[in-house]
Amino acid sequence: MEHYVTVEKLTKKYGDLVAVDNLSFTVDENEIFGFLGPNGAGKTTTLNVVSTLTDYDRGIVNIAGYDLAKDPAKIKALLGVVPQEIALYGMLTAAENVSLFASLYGLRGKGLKDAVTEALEFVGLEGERSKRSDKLSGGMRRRLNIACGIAHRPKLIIMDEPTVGVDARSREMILRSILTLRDGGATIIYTSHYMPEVQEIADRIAIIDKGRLAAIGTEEELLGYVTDRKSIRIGTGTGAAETGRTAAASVAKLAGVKAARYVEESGEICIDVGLELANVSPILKDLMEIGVTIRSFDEEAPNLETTFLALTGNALSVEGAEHPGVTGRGRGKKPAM
Amino acid sequence: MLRISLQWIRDYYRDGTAIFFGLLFPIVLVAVLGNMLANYDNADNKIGTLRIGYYAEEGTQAAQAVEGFAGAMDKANGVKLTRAPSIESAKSTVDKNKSDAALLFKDDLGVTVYEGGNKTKNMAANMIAQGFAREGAAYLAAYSSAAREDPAKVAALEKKLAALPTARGGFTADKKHAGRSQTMIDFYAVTMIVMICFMGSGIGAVMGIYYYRKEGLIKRLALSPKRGSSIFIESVLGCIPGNLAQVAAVMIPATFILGARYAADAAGNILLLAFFVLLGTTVTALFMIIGIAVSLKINPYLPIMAVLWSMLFASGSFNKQFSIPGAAAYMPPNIANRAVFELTMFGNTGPLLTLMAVLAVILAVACAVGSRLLLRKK
Repeated sequence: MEHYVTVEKLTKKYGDLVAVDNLSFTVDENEIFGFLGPNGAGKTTTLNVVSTLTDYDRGIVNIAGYDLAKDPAKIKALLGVVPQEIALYGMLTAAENVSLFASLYGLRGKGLKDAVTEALEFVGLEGERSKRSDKLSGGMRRRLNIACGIAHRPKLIIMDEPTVGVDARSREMILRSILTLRDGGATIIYTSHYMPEVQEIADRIAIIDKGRLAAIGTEEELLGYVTDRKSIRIGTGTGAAETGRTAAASVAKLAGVKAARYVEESGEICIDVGLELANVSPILKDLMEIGVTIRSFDEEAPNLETTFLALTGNALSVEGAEHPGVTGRGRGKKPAM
Repeated sequence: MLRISLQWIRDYYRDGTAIFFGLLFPIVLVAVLGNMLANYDNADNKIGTLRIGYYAEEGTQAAQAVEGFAGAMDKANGVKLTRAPSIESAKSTVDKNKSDAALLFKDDLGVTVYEGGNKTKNMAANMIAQGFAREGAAYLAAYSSAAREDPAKVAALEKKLAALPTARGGFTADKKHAGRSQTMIDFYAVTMIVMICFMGSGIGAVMGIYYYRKEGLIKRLALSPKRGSSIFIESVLGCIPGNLAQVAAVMIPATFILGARYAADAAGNILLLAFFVLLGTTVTALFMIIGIAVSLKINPYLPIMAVLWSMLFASGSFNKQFSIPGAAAYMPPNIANRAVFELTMFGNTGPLLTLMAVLAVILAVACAVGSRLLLRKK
């Protein structure tokens, strides 16, 4: 089967630093491809190479049959990129922003007008079309950022953390719009620091760490990578974050515990333990001795976050990042073939 | 086509800060600074009041001609012509230091200058004498030619001569150059526009590109199939209306409120306007390159302002007393000013056209370099 995007043995160095190391993956046509990795893993560098912004040292990148090294202009014409930073002209209205970026892809006249209206409607900003972009709310600006990247109806859309810092309503709308784009025929490469979001919409997921591919596959396939552990989630009282972190560090040293971390947003301590650990009393005793109030106790089967942690040794979530609740896990996935 | 230019234009005219700093602030600043520095504006040689005693024999043609000439000179600032009963009497006032020079107007419209002890004042007295002699010679030539060809023309010529103004009104001290009147505003406004071409266009270009880069907009443009040269050139073109507005903001009030005339005719003024636009555009392209090259960690506003102000001071744009002798002549603002003055003062278009050709080459090179730098890959 011909893949829409093929990256083979891609290597990119910045001086002595190897940002991307022999990375290979494929993306099929009309799928949402989640791209996960901790900070500095090489996600952005890889996406910058694929989107023609950055040169690479070695490897092959092929998109829709075009070799990036030979036909970058043809690849650019197929691409729509939604950058992580909100890149909008503040003095231009919402419609003018979309119109400008769409016009760079050759749209003119009525076709351009229709594309602008369609894109604004798509992200729910038709009512704000005449408002200057610097007067829009953060969530609206984030949605407008998407509209500017997709108005020219690209075949391949690259989205770099499109939901960072948005409210629940905007986030919900963004995720829904990504699924609609996929259903409309687009191929989407999507990065996020927020695991549940990727789980929710991605058909396949790649995890990269230190510039290398750690794992790739569907959610079910990735969960199969980790068979030696389970997760315990302990709800704590509203105490100081410092106490939570101290407790997590202390628990991590106990026998049978593979990793432990304190999640400040939820006030939970998440502990990965080996499947052989049957007695969790030492963990609870340790926590109580430190002064942690235990409000709830849940044992979970391995999830993507556990898998990620096992593969990379790092938690994915960014401290302080705003990620409101996720609903309907896995609602958008295409049925497994 | 030109969608990026249109965006630059919209961005400029919708941004109150850009309008203030690009359009109003330089004018206010230059006007305030000009006034502050006016006290330091000393002439190279101080002449003071030029006192001249003169004599022309009663009833001669010279006596009639000199009467009108002396009347006109009396109305000019700084020259006092006093009729003496004899040339000896006029010369004795020079000896007694009561006048600076004595002039004897002869019947053949020639002039003899009796100089005093002040070299500068002697030069001025000689120039007055030469001016009278030249006018007289021209008058005689025209008169004799007319008389030879057609006596009827003599009357018409006399009528024209009688109608010639004996003094010209003006904003301050009028000067006559290349056959036209100019005021100090012509000089001051030209210098202001050259300064604005550097200040407004330069700062606007650097900061525009810098912020677009910082906000990821250049990266977003680079993602499109549009070529780097198109993006850069359209950006430069988009700054032209702003540059034009800056020039107009000085030229229009200077012309209609303060009576500036600039070049001798409409063609000269169109050339002048074209030069200012080309200068502003070239400065824009060059400073855009700086905006592209500068690290995003450094806000270039203050360093660029410091460099521009230093260059303008060193070139003598604000005041020649502050310029760096020797170096000033090689500073871009000074070169631009001199070329413009060649046109406005002497009607000489050569230096301006040469400079425009040089600017066109610099602009082309800047566009090539800027296009390459703009979309360079890491």
